[in-house]
Amino acid sequence: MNKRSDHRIGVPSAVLVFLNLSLAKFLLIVPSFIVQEVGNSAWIVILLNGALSIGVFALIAVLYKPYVALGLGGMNMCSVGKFLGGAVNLVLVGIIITRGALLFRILVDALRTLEASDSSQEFMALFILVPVLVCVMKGFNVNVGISAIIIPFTIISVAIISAILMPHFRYDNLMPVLGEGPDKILFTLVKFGGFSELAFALTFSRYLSGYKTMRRSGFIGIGAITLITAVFTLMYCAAIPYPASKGFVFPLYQLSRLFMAGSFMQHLEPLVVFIWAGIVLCALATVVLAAGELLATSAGVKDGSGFAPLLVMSIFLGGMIPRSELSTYDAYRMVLKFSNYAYIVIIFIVVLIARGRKIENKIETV
Amino acid sequence: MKTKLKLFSIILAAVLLLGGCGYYVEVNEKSYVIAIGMDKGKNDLLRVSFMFSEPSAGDGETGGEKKKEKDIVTLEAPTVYSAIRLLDTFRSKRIDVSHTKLIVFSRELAEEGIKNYVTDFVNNRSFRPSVYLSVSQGEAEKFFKSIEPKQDLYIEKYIDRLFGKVTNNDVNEAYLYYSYFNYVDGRGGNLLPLVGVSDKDKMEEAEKDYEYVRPDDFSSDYTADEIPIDKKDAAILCGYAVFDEKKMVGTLGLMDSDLVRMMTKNLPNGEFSVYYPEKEQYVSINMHQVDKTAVSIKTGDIPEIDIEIRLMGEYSGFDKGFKSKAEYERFSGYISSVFTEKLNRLLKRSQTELCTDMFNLGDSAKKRFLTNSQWDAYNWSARYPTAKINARVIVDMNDLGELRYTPAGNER
Repeated sequence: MNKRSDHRIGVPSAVLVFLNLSLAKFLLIVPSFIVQEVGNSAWIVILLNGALSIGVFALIAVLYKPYVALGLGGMNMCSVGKFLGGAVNLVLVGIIITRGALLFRILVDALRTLEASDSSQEFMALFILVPVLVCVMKGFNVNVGISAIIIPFTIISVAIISAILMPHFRYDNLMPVLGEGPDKILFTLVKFGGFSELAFALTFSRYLSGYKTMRRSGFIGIGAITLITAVFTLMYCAAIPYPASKGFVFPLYQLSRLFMAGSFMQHLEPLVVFIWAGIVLCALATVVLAAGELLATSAGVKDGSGFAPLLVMSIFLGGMIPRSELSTYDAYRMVLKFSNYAYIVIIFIVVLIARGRKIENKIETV
Repeated sequence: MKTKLKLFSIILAAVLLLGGCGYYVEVNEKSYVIAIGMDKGKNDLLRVSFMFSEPSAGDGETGGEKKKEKDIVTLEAPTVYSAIRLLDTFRSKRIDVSHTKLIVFSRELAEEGIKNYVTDFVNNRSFRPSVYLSVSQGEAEKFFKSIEPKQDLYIEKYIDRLFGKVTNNDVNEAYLYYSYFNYVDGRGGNLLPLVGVSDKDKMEEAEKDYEYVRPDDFSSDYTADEIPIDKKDAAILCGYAVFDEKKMVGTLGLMDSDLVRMMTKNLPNGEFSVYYPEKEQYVSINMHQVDKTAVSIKTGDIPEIDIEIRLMGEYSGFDKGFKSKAEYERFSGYISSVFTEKLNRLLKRSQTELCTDMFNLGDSAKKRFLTNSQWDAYNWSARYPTAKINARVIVDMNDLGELRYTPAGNER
């Protein structure tokens, strides 16, 4: 958004941006939503979702090919005109910020409930949003750099937790293999499916070194997130039998509570708090960067960092709207359900209009 | 730029790591509950006993740590949490339950059902999932008072070691979480360790004899508080309390516990005494379990369950020896038949008297169904009592190179 440079990002950095946007929701709460719907076969939903997403992305990538250098915001402006394009960008910003705000509120409530019940919401908000603002103001490359530390740390930590909990995994807990049934699996896939974060990531496509980078990083990103979340959900289902697993909200936290190694090593929860704080920070920073990029394109300014305080404040205010933890979960569940499709559908419509009007020829002429 | 990024990352990590100390509480400002005992009180109240541990420094004279006296408080309240509130009214230190090791329910309470209490404990994050659950033959309060650790400096260590012996398997219903999982699943079959208080007078009237006497002799088995023993610390852990989906339905004795451990591949390496009629004497066999219990189930109208347990055995303390290989093999067959008979009898009891799948054999049957609704429709808990069960315990006696018989039939 700001501090643009001629330096283009390659596949590893682009994959990190995608993981930033997706990993937080999967390690925080989404597996529990899926388990509540389909029981012990939640991991199958994740795998199907990965396959579906690869198909959708392959189609989007082909259609989007001529507009990689424009970025998502730029393509919207060129294809449907400045006014309508600006409006579309605003809708996309609204969706991203709403999701970010609810994710932020879930983290605040989780940290307060689990680790610091005496702290106020405002203190927790400050604790999370100030680093986000600093990270955004420092620019896209800094965000990628921080992710390069936090994402591997997160993945390694989750892998270590899984290895330690190996004796708690029971194959029997995964049976019957189809859980609540194939109809429920398909219904849940429709309800929570789609890595719409990949579509968010298209906002940054003009920072990529080309179409091939976008295509490769998209496929690698979807593959990586599918593998990580499927293994994580499988672990959760294998360690905590259904229907008991249905009653817990934070899978990673519950898994960490099972850990016990003698009298002095029974608490892995602080590690979980650290993981959550790290990945949500990365996710929110990327969300604000993406929203700022769309706003900057709409407003015709080069640098979107001026929007960052406004967007961070919007996340704070939006996050404080739900009255309780339960209403936050309900709101997030509902937003996920609709925004996954809204985002993809909007992008499809705009890209089809752009292809229909052959704006790529005009861009080349310009 | 790279330096700035590194600096920024370090500061960010520091921000995340260096939490504030605004709400700190010193360790010695807390009163740590080590065990909670729950008995039936008067007027539908609970009689809750709390056993405390206070962190202490060395006594300064011996240079070592000072053994703490027991601190047990018993009070009556409608719930455990109201009892904790009452504790706060007269104890100066803040009550902390996060180090609770053991929760003991009296048999009277367990027979009415403990599901709600277990759920209450799980819903409170202060209790660790690894808290041991147990059932006391008599009053839980009496059991607490009888604990007088001789070999451990601290009561918490004593509890850890004593219960660790029966739960040395990570997935065990004796842990709070796993007991809860079984309840939520609605399948029951929880086996919780049974505790009791020994009585010195029983030494005089000891009739039972804890040995595997004959395949058809089932009279000789002890449950907690039946063991004839003369010791100052009267607390005893022996056998299991069996639960169905709702409440406690029976107890298992010491010998049954060995069979439970065989079924869960949790059999400790140890000596078993078996009376061998052919030689008219007791034989001590050192046995251990190598393979997991093999369970195969045919899920027809009447389920057919086939169980095979393989044990490795080595006999010791048998002074008459074997005269031939045939005699030796006959002995192995006899040992296998003793345990097979005992196991089949226990399984029959689980079907008829206890009416609960206490070994969770249903887990193996679940694999034959595709969806939860198909499994629910099969109604395993109703079919289990009618199932045909064929259990075999095969004890492979090994020589380890020692000559147990002579080929010529001569005595060793």
